[in-house]
Amino acid sequence: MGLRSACQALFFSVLAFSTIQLKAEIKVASFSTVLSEITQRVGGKNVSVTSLIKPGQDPHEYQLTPGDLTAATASDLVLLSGKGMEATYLNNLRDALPKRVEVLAVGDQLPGLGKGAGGEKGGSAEATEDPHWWNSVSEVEKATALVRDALIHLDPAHTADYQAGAQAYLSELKDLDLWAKRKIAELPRDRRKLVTSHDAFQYFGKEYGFQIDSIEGLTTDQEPSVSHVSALIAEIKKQGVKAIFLENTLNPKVSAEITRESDAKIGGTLYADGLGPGEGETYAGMTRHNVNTIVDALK
Amino acid sequence: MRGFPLIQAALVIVGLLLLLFPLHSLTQRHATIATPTVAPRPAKRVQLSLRTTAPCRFQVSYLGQVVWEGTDDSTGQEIAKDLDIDFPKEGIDLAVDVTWETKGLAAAEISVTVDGSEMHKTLWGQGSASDVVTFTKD
Repeated sequence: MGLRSACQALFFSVLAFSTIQLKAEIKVASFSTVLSEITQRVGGKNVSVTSLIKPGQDPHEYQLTPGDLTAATASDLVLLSGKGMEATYLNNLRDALPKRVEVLAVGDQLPGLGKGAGGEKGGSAEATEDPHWWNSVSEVEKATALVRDALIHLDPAHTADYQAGAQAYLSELKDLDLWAKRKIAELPRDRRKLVTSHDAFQYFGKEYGFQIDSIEGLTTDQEPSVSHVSALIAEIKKQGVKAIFLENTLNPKVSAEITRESDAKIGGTLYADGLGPGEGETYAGMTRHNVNTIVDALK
Repeated sequence: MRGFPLIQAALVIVGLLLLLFPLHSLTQRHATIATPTVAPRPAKRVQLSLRTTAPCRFQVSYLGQVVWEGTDDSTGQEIAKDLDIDFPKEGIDLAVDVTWETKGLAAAEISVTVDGSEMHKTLWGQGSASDVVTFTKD
């Protein structure tokens, strides 16, 4: 009888401990593929991440669905790209979320970059600065620190785990940044003219010394004007730009027209709006693909 | 009608054919060949120099090619090398790798002199340092 009671006590103790452990897992809903990766890498087994924007999906075109709202309300932390990326549904999302759910708009904590060349010819009224901060590795390093701090704030019991996860990921990012700088250093600085489908590479340009031009503005929801495309063709000819680049989430029709009217060729397809299928399944893969594609085409 | 009709017809055809060339020249759509206005610049004499706080091995690369490598045994003394390279107004990037004999904190200053302008960048590291440094004439 005594042994049986002891076994029962041990069983319920183990069950209770397991329940506490399961309950301790932080639920994160992410509206950014890059933030999903950062959170998984920093949070590890202590965090469960639901990616509401899927790899290859255009975040500019994303519409908040009832299912995604349910996932967000069930989470402890909602991660947003920020800088206007979620402008079309942000108010509805904030109104619907319970007070206990913390919201971190990561991009809003990062330094801003104003409209680039593409920003004057299109783009929604909300988009006044480039929201594509992940196209600079050093901004992703800052974002990693922000996610780490948010997880520690929510779950201080696992502080050491989050610090270790962040440190390991930051070390990889540091190596990635040096690799990118070395690869880009193969391209003379006067040939660093990047023409892309939409204005998503201001952070990349600032980080690595590129002049940025784009067919569309900061968002992908408006067609470029004829006058803008004509001016862009003239600029491509004047600057002797060797290649222009497509994006994995956009229609290449206008880009193809520009190559017909100028001497530029299509240099390849870039991951502009986050992770995507193929090489862009990870942030490192996405960055290596973009840098290799740009440098090899403009050399 | 005087003369031979066949000869007259042949003369008219020849006349029309002669007109074709100038007409073609005047009416053809001139291909707008986009000639890049970016003309190649002549290379400039650029002096690279290195000063380090501890004996080291170093390598300097420009546009993916190693342009200078060696060892610096003389602590604090500057060593230099001349290069003839393009130096656009946007500047140049140099990839620099340094490995010091000491494991403690050390520094290497790399300088670029072009057209009388001297620019300096310093790399710090413990044992080694690698970075891409940009030199732009202000």
